Amino acid sequence: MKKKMIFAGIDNSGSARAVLQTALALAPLLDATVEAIHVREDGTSTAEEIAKEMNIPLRIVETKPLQDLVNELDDPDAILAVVGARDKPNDPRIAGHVAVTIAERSSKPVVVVPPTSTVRAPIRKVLIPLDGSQSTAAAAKRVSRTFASSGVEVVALHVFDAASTPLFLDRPDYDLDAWTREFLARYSAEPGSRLELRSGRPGNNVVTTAEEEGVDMIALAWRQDLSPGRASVVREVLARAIVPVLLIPVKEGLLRSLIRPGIIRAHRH
Amino acid sequence: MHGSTEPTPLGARARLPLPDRRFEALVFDWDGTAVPDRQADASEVRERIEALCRAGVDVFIVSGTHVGNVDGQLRARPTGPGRLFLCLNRGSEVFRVEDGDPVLVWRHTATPDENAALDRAAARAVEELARHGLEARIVSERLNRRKIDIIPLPEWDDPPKARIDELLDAVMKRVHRSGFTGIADVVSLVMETARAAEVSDPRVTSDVKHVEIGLTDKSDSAKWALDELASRGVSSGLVLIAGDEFGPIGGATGSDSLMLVPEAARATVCSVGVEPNGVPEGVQHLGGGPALFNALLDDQLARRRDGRAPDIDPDPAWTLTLGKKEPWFRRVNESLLTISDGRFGTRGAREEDGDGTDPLLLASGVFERTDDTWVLLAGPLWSNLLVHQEPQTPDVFTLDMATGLVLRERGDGEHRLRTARFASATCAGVMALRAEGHPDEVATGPTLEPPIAHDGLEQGKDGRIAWARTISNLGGGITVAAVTAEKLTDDRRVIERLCGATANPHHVPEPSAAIEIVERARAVGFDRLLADHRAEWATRWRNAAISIDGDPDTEKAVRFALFHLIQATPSEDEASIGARGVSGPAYGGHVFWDTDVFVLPVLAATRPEAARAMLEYRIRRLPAAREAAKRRRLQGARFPWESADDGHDVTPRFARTPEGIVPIRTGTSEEHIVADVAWAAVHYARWTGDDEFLRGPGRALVIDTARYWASKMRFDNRGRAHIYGVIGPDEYHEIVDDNAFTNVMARWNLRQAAQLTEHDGSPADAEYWRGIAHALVDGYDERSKIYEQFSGFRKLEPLIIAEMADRPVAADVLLGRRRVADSQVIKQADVLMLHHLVPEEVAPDSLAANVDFYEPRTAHGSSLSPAIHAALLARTGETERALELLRLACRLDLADLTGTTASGLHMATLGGIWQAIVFGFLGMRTLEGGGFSIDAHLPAAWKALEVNMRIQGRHVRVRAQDDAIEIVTDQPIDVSVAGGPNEHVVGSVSFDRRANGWKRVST
Repeated sequence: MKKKMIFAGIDNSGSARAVLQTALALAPLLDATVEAIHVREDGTSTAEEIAKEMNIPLRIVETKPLQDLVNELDDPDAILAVVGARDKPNDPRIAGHVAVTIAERSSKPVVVVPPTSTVRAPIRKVLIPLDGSQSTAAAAKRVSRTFASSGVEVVALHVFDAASTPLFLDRPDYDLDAWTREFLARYSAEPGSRLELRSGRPGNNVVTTAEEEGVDMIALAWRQDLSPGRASVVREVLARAIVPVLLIPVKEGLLRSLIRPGIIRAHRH
Repeated sequence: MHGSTEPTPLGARARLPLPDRRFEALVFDWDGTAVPDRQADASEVRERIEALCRAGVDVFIVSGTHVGNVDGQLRARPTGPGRLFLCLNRGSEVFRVEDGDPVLVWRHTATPDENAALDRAAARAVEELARHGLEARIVSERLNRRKIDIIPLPEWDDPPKARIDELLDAVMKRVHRSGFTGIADVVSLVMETARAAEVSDPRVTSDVKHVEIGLTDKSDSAKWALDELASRGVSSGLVLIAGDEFGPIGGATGSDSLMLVPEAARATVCSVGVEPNGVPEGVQHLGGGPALFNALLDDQLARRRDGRAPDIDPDPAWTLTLGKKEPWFRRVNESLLTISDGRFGTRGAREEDGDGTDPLLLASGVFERTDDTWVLLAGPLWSNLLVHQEPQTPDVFTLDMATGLVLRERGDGEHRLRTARFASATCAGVMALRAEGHPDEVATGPTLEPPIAHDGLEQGKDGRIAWARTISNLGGGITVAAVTAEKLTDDRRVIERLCGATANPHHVPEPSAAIEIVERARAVGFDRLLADHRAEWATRWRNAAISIDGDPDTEKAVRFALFHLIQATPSEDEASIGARGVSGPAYGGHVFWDTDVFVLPVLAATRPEAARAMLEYRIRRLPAAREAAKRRRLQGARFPWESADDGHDVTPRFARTPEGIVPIRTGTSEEHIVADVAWAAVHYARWTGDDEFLRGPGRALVIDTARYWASKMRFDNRGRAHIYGVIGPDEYHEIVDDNAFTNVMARWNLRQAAQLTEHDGSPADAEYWRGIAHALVDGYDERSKIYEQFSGFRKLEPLIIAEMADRPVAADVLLGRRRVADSQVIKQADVLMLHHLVPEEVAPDSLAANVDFYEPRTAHGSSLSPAIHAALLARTGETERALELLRLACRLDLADLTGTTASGLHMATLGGIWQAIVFGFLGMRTLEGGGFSIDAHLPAAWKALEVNMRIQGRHVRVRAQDDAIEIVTDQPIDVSVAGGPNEHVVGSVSFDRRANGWKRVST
């Protein structure tokens, strides 16, 4: 049986080390091996050096079109890609061209590692924001189950914003307990998961909650569309998070077949 | 009309499409349907009728002839429990048949004038027919009718039914010779003469040989039978009507079609006759005559014998069908489908285990302690079965609100699974379940199982009866016993489970107590339990039913609210009604003001004994309330904001919110509950007319609460009294001074106590209380007519939430607690709650100004808010906005608008819905000194609103339309309409709206 693979895309920047560390931290949880890939653009020395140092096999490919790399993730054995967000901490972009392209086009989850990321191994705690839609819940469920079965603590997060403020809240203690219980039953695969509730701007709350909770990774379901005006939460999290961000593609077919659940403002008729 | 077809050969009976239903009653024609003719041997049908009655089926035989003919031929003497009625004499008489001679139970007797009119009509009809050349003869004078033979020839003296075709030919030849086109023409002529002779509402029919003029006909028989059945909770969808002449004959209406009265709307109707001209729409033509009719009876007997699951009447106005919903709605449905006998609530979880279900049995008032609070103890689960079907097979659940039965249907054909369950309304603690399905797909499994969230279950067996009990760490427990019976055939397994539950908050009931309940239930039997249960629900609805012409969705939602409120409350001992009743675990079964202020009024008006039991809960906790006051160095009784078993405050102290850990201050500061309890006591006494209550056991609820306020208030140097540091109903603003609601309710409480003590000879107390009540500030500004919600409210940031957000909205989540606290955004009616509860205590004509000021500032973020605002807006005439808010309240649980209905129904919202209807749209209030006032304001969509209720010992029905009000009462009562003078109403009275007000128009 072939081993499951994590592809770690590295360049010659300093973030290569964080990318490989992240991939290595994930490998035992996913029962996978790590293969580093480097696209030759400006030499190979740093990538080779770091891969060697970390004892990770490195495949160097010649200025391959990015789509070919994306296609490699369609291989059933490829379960995940890890890429660096951008070369430098002061880069104003939320992620570099390579990271964005792979994340937007990949059929598999992609971990985007910030340049200043603190990578902790083993991964002990993951934050999974849930927006209360079945589509994101479905996308996050498998990842959540995988982490939980490996002993990782999964903390779910729901942020009430202007669009998702509950219609009614009689008593915060009783009602949020009941609401949380039902929310987890509907949207979380893991019995006994913990749900954190926040209110305000979702992206901001994801970042601050990740810091408060001291998580090792954030797992975000998304629709793989970073065009202007879209994915505001993903943008903010990628821009500000200090831990790797696992982006889980939402299957569009699934998205169309599921409606937004009735427990938040979509109830309004 | 369905086309006429060849009658079905009897040899093909096994393949006949007999109605695939279990009926609770049979109404059928006699001659030609049950027997071939009046001379035939009726022994076969007699045996079946007696057997059906033994099985609990009610049987109504309808015939035009007299009792001697039918009883002489049938000679049935049923022993019950099903009843046999003979509805005879063309709808003029009904006899009950038991072991002796038939007993007349109803008769329509013509007045002398009516008899004279009938004589005139018959004589004129014969003359008119003769004028056309048709010889006819009056052959007899019967009760309430006259019979005219239109073929008075010796050869047609007494034709048997079997010669109907020949008779028809002969009659048609005669009438054609006389220039009539058919028998219908003759009937029309006779009808004209009857009307000319001033017969009131003449009934003219023909059986081909005769034309009869009468005051009654088979429609009266059918109506009587169906009314009688409805009074026992058996509505038309549970009734089979059979006859042999539904279709027209000779152009005249088939005589059995007269049984198709409006009351029979959903009955299954079958014809076993020849029906040469087809049958009317909705009638199933089986043909086959009496032999096939016997097959119908055999099929019903087999269903009883096999213990098949009962059916419900699928009346869309009374049933709530929940199916094909997204999986996550399953737990919500379980709350909506909860059944209760008043003490025990069983959530409507499917019978088998599986993802997404949350089965639960709760007992009202039986708690256990968790780390930080008290919660309701979960009891052993009794409704579990093993179901082996594809999990994806859709389930359809139907709650029959008319009879308190939950039906589940799944799959089809040989894979059809059906279960039916109810919590007996007549036998305390009894729950019953029947299930039927393919033998490979449904099985019994363990009879009792432990609740999901409870460790430890004691269980055992006593013969065939299994028992189990859960034990609370507070010493109480829930003990359940159950017995399961099973019948297996090649293609079906039928399972019956009878369950008995008993519970006690302070000791664990012995298994023997639950076993005894099961034994009693077993002795009665499932079918009898169900029949009694249905009859009790029919009685309940006679005192509670609400109809809204023109708004079926709201009507159904209102009935849903009533159903759950009525079923969730016991009628004796004490009633501890938690915020979610016994439909789910949320709020731990804690009792809030929800119970006293929102739930009690509906029960006072529908089941007064249940309202009394709710007050008994407070009375028994007076010692704890007095102790609470004493601990605060105050006098009287201080009821806790949240109460569980012993009456001490069980309000949590902290909550985790999106803003972090926040303190919960309601337990220490939301003190209006003290006056709310007094309000409940006074409201109950006024509404029910139970005057002794306030002089006796309820007196302390008013006096001791007044004492509390007297010791709580503080006087300033101007002699004005204040209440400091409280929380009003608007919990967005905590620890405020002089909350108008609290102060005015306290003032009302003191005045009520003064009134009571005056009556029993303590005028000094009365004078003192009146004095300090007068000194209490209430924040009222005479210029603007607005009450300031609390001292300093006007200085807060004037945010109008209506302009900022779609409402309802949990504004504390949207804006944050601090922002909301510093603004004029409020959670729910606060000042306006005064106008709702104690309108006599607020400034006259101040409602509109306060609605205008406070409603736009109200986020309606409390589930208590929409219904109460619907009531208030209806009173100010803003009926469309009122209806919008009522509909919102109606959908709160049905559409899970809070996201928490899975954890139980919002009992206060359900109670608020009734209050919006009765206090709001009907504008009903009790009058000082007895009687009630009414001032109806209906939205345009409502053509009429009809409410049944109990008030001051009377049964009253009010029907309101835009321009008319009808009041029907079983005992005289005073009524004031729209502020007019008191009118003494006896029986039925109508009022019409005129340009200058309402005018009494009839008695």
